[in-house]
Amino acid sequence: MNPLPMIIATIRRHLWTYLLFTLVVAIATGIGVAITSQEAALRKGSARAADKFDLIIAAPGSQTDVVLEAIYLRPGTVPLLDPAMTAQALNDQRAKIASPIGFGDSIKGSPIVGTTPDFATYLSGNWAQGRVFQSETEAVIGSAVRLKMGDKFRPSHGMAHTGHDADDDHDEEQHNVDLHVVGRMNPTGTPWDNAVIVPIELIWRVHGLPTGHAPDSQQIGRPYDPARVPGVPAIVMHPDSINAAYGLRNVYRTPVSMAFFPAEVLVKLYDVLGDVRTIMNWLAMATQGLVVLSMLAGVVAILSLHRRQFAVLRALGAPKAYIFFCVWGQVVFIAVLGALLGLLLGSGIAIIVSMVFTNSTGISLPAIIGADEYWLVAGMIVFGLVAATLPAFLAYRYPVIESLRAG
Amino acid sequence: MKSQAPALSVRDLKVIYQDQAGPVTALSIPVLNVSPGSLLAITGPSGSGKSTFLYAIAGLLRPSQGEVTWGGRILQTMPETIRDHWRRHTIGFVFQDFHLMPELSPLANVLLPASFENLSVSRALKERALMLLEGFGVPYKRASVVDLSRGEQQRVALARALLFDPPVLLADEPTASLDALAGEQVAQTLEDLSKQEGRTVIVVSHDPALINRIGTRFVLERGQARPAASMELVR
Repeated sequence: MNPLPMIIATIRRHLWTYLLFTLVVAIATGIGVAITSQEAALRKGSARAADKFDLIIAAPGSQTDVVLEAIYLRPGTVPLLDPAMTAQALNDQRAKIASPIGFGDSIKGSPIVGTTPDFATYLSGNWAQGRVFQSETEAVIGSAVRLKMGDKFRPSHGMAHTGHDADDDHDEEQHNVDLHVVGRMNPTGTPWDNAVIVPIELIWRVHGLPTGHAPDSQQIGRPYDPARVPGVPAIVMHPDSINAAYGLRNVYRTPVSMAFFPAEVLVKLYDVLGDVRTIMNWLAMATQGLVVLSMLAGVVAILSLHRRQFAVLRALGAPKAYIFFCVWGQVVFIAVLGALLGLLLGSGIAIIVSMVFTNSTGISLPAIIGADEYWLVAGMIVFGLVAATLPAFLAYRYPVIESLRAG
Repeated sequence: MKSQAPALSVRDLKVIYQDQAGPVTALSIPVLNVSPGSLLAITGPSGSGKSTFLYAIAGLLRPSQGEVTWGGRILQTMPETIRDHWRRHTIGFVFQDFHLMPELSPLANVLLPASFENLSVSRALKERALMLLEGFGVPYKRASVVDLSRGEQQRVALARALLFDPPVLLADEPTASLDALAGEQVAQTLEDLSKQEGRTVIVVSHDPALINRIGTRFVLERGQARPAASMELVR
């Protein structure tokens, strides 16, 4: 038997209705695909952004706040680390890199972050252009910063997280220091791509704080004079080994400081995210199920218009199975085409959301359609194949005589 | 070529349904024998059981009592799948409203029953479908049957009914939706199918022109055949 001619003819008769059903299934599937893909992308993107932040030392408080501020460059109210502890950590030779992270200024919508040349080089890997800063008046820029090599600028006081450039605001106070761009970092897929990185000494100096060195010194980086080190929001350490990392973490867990691996914080966040993901997956599946059921209700309504036609086919000798597969094929057409279009739509939504998210946070989200998304689509198709049996079975059981008389 | 038309034999046939007031006999035919190749008209007022009779002898309706036999084969004892196959190859059905698929061409409509049993349509069936459409004078190259006149559409339905060359043709009000000329053409075709090709043709109709043309008839009133005595209808 070959019910395809009947299936095609019926779909052609109700083309726009069936396309609408298909679109609804595609949207429901697409939303599910986008949610799953974005959740995975968020994990990957946020983990990658924290990759080079092995160990963080900060004042006791919320580790999440410190991670958000130091790694993701989100504005916060993290307390400053005790100056003596800051000096001890910055000069600690057990860490290959020990760099302060200091904020407070911005330029053209990009936050200005103060740190050390070592850490800037570690973050960038190779330089896309130029070199790392070697004096307080030099700056390097992230790959997405709207400045060019050699540009000169004056940092404005205040952080640029309000969606408009701080230097567009005439009330913003500009510091009386000219900086120029000497290097551009390679893209890192992190919020640091949108940052302007300067020596921490400059940040301290323009805010009237000691610079960690003698007042007339132009030195940047280690060693720091313990008597001249102010407090900082966070210190990033890059130890030699995992053992060293754990050792340092123990050393800096004191009453006036906390030390932690950002991965610990992310794992806790992912736990919460995982719960949210489970809820959203269930919601997405419930939505898809409801959409399929609504579509089935629509198909059943359409099929009731075809009862007499099916009865005529039976009178012409069509087996009941032929009627069953005529209807089953129509629903399967909607479910399969809708699910496949949903995969494409979901991929498109994921790419757009990733772009928007990357633009607003700087965190690059790899919108990749993987096994989870394929399973979701496969699940939708299987559900469609099974759900299609319901109207098919109804049509299978239509009484021939009553249907023939129904016209 | 079609097989020899089987003889129809109806014994003690009753179709009873339950109404609010109790059981109602929709059809009661004690005895009816129809010889192979007969041309028979069944007439009677609306609701008299004409269509019920047609569905019962086609094996679409399971009677409450009695039996319908075609060529010695009792329909009621056939399993459903066997009965479907038997109906496909033994009985052609024509309806008042044609029931063609408007999205399909005339040829595709005629070939539709072929899809009931095979994945693809054989060349022989395609040739037969074309021969039937040409024989009935249908402009079959039209993209859709809706481009045809009503008379032509009924002839497409006739061709569809004859695709498997069944020896029996059942027609339910085949001329009711047609104008006089088209009705006359269809009536002539039905007569030819019986008298020239030897098919058993049973027509349910109100159309006096068609009934008079057929000649042999019996009347149903309130489900009862008239005359009530047993009937031997021969060619």
